[in-house]
Amino acid sequence: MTDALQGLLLDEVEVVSRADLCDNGWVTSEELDLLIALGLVRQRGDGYPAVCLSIVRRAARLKRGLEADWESVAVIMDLLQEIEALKNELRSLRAREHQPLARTDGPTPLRENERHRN
Amino acid sequence: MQYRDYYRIMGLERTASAEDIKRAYRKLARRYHPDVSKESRAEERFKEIGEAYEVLRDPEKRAAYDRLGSQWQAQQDFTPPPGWHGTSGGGGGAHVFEGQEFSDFFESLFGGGRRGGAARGTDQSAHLTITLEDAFHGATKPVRLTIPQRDAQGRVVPELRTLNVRIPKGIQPGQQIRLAGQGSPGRAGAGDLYLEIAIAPHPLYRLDGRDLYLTAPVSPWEAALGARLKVPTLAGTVEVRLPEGSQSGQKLRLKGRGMPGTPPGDQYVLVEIVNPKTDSEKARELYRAMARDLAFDPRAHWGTA
Repeated sequence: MTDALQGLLLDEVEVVSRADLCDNGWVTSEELDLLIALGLVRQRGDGYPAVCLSIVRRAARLKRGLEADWESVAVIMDLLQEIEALKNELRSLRAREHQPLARTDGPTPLRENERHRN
Repeated sequence: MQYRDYYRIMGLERTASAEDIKRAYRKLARRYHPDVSKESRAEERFKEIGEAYEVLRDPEKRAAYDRLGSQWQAQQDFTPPPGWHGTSGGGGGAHVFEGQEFSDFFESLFGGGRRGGAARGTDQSAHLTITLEDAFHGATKPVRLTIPQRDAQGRVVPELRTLNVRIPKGIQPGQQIRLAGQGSPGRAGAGDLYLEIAIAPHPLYRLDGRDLYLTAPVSPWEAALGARLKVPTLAGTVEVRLPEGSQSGQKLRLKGRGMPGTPPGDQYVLVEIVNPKTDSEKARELYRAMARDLAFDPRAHWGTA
């Protein structure tokens, strides 16, 4: 067992450099510019949000695996993101419908009106 | 090592044209690419397909593979023929999924696919499911991994490794942590490890973005007359005032009591009125008294009375 490793959280707050995005062999510097132009990668200040590491890695994987061009990869990424968001919403709605009452054994009343009241 | 039937993996006849091979690959890639696939074991299958395509798309490699003959069966024990000279170099691995090492079968025929050219070790991915409490407070979690390594003979061998990873507080499901240098080793440094976080469902709380939802069962008199409820939060119990005349489905917001972040989320307490059981004559009598004295019709607005 090693000491606790502190990784880089790939979120919107942490920042990575251009070299971080290009030095893994996923994309060239020119390809990164294209991803920026396509709106897949956003620049912020003098760097990029760390979540762009996940984005570039996934985009490169899709391009290589599907033999697609970058424009198609951008469309696929948008659609995948939308599917993920919808899945999350569905999961959340389902959990809400089926959330059990804590420590009771009574029937759960229907709460159809709840949605309109929020 | 086992023989790999690359034609069968790609669903092709041995007579397939270059165009057939490309078409078959694209169709399979659409189905099994781990980023778009709904199939189970998609990644494993996709790597198999990638390796098969790596051989069949390259006329030189395909010719060498074909020279082995068609008498071999998939998974049959295989040793390269004496004096075998495959093609050199193994290729750039253009269609290989990241983190992929070629099979021993491939390596024995074509040499080091990645060993030859790859300077940096491959990146690896892993998933880690943590509790909501760990996500809230932050934690250090052991992560057990199998990282493909090469032994002294250059064979791919799995290495079991346990890493202790710091999970920052407020981490969201689906977020990744990059652990630099914890992927597969390589000549010019190891690849990175990408750890994707999932949060296990919690028996009490439901997570929605950074907000937490908790259902509070309350008695009819608490809801009607108001009450002070002891409500659990992930940071400890707090006292919440339930206003007089509360109804099922109403929400109480505990600002800033959700998941940590900038700004932190809120915790919502969903009021759920639970009626006492009518398992005694005394209870039934109390309900009858309410029916008699309260003159309450919850369906008055239907106009069906």
